[in-house]
Amino acid sequence: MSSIGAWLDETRADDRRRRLLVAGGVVFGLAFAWVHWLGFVAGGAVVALPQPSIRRGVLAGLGFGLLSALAFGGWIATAGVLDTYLTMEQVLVVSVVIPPACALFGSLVRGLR
Amino acid sequence: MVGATATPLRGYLDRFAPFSGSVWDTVGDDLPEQVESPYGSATLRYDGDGVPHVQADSEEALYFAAGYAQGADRLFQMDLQRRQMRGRLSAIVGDRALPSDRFHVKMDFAGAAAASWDLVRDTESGRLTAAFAAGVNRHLDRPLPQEFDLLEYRPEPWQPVDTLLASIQIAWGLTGSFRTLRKETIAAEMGTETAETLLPDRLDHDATILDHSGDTAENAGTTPSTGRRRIDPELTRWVSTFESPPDVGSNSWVVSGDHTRSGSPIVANDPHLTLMAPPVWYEMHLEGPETHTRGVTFPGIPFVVIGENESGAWGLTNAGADTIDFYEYETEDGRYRYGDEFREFDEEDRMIEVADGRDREITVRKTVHGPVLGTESDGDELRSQVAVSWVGLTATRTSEAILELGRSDGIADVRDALRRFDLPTQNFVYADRDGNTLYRVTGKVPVRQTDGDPVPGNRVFDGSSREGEWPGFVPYGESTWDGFVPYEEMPHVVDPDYIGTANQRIIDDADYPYYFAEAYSTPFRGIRLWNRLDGRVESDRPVTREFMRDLQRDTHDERAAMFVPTMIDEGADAVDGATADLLEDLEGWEYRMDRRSRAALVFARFLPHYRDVVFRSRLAEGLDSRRDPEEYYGNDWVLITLPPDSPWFPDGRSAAIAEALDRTAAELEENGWETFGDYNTTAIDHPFDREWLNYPRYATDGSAASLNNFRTESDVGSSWRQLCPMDKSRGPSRGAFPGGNDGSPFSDHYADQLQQWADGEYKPIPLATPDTTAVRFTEGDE
Repeated sequence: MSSIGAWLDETRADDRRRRLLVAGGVVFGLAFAWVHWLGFVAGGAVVALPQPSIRRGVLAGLGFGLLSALAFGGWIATAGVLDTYLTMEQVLVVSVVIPPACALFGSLVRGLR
Repeated sequence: MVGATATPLRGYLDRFAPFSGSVWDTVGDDLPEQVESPYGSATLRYDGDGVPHVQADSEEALYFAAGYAQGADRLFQMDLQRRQMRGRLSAIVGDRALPSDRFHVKMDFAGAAAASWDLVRDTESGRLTAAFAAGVNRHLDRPLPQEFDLLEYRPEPWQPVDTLLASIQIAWGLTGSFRTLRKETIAAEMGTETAETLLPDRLDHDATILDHSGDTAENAGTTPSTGRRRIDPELTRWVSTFESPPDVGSNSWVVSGDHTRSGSPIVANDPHLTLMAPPVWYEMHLEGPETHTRGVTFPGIPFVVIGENESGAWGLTNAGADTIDFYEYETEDGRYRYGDEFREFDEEDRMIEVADGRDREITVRKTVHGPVLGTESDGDELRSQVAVSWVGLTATRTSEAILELGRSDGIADVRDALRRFDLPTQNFVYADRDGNTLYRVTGKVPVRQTDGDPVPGNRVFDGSSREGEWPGFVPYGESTWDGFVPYEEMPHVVDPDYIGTANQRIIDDADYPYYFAEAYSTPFRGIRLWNRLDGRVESDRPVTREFMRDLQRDTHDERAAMFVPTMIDEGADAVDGATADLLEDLEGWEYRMDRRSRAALVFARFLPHYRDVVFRSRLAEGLDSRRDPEEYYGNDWVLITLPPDSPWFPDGRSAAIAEALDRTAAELEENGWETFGDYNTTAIDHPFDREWLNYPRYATDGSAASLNNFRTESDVGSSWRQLCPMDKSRGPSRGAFPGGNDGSPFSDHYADQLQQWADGEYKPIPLATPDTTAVRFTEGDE
């Protein structure tokens, strides 16, 4: 446990490692979210953990969530059904809210250490 | 309970989360390139309109693949309709569907479907229906249509008997009518004369399908019905919700080669059914060793119902024959009298599952005549009841007939197939490549008997006294058909020069030996159809495919032709200002219901206001206050032929016209409508009525009374148009489809043909298959 903690401390102090971990977290989170919504939670957690402060961790999680929502919109547009998606009322709203909400929840893990 | 195992939050995440949510799993979902089939190899190809083209080396493989295609494109629609007919809607949508479930469970349509399945199970159509079901069920393990996710349930496997249930649903929608009950109600509460005025059994015209130039004097009704008892308002209100929608109808005509430019016959058909999203029809092209046919079918039915094969083409319109009767009984100690004895009701308790609510137990009760429909109060206590005999409640062989039509090789095969077309009663028109033409009414029509004598079926019978019996009829079993109009004596013409059907009276009663129909539809379209066909044939210009297309798109409204002169004459002195301007708009109008016409808008909106002005107040006064007067309005023929001195005009007809015009002017002003197209737009909606599921709105032409048929207020209209010349030298047959063939809103083919349909345009519908293969079926038992 202490070794993980030490590794996190080192990462938080190293901009390059932190960015790499965030980028990896985004990729991991989106890949995981492709098959399960827990991917948004996990992605939010991974991008939040290396942040130097809880506040930045929460912001990073939120950012991942918003990025995920945008990525989903892009995927929908690529599939040629953006017009339909934009008329989907409550379903649209729920689908937009889920990624940032889940990622925000995941980012709270930053508060543990 | 459906969906109860998941917490609400988890349910939302599982269904709506981006990427993984189940509502998204049909986005960009392509069918697998290869599918194993226990019935052998086949290919499934889709054309640019999303129409499946199936080819196979065996008939079983063909229909397995057809089932696979329907399952891919319409699985939710099929399941929803199956649930409706089985009385299982409440299990997914809650107690708002209880009235529907109660009706369908009490009618026991599922029992009737089971009887039909018992009859056809071992026939060719039974085997192919089983193969079709197996193909549908290949989709149970694939991504499901999003409606299943929205309602949080999974479909059960499609059974062959569900196919027969689908055909019963269609037949009920075309022939299930409670008109008899409504008419007796009016007679009991307002008098026989009023009942005869509002609901005449015969309309005085001579545009009959057979012998249409006959003497109108022969068109009077046969035996007016006699009101004997008031029907419980709750009962009539409940059951009338589930009967055949008002004014469902269709057009069809066939012109023989004697009158066409090509020298070959041309067949045209456009059935007017409920327009919905996805459409009531499913278009497909099937090519196997014995079958090569293209056309439309109802989702859940394997065989092409209306279409064409290599030998000929056929179309259907509703015949309006009376295939339903009602019976009342003397009861005692929970038993009913039948002749000299008291019998126990055949009773069975059924449970209706209700989502998010208390499940309900209801008792299905039957007599020797059929199921009993009764009103239930809060305590489920019966207050009023009638038993129903309907041809669709016995075992029928229509599926065999439909299969054989697709396989037919000319008129002889078709005539043989129609012997097994037990229901519904339809006007069937046909032409083949050899130049033969045919008109025949399909189905079985009971010859009711009281004390051994034939009687008309336009009244509620005393079931205890054995009135109105149907000899040989066995509800939920196999009937002998001995007591029905013989096949040879059903109205028909072999090789007619030309003939047109538009749901009008088929034949004058004086010219036919049997009681055939309680009432037929209004003849407006029939009159126009005969006028144009007669005029063309009598001219020196032969009939062409262009003429046929023009006829199918004809927007002439005979109601307007009959009544607008009266409106102008009688309304002119009674109105002023903006209302008077409406009459000016009507001056010089040629009665075409075209989207750019101002006059068409004025007339289209005047008519419902006039109907209200004439009928509402007097009916509201005369009927039980619990009844909805609108359900008892006379039809448009009755409305516009009421004489000026009719008691329905207490202040004179001109005053009624003026009031209706005033209301029309106010309505047009309020809504900002300038032309007919501002009002007459498609309003074709999905059962969920959600923006992304409903079809887009397009202005279109046509009215309830024009051949180009569209009714924006009831979402009924030309649900499929086909023009089939037997001479293909100038191109293939053509068709038009009001929507898209794929039921997924994420599909390019969800509504892709709607605009073309609304604009009266057609597409080629050849018996040809595109090159690109979507799915290859290989021998195997997955």
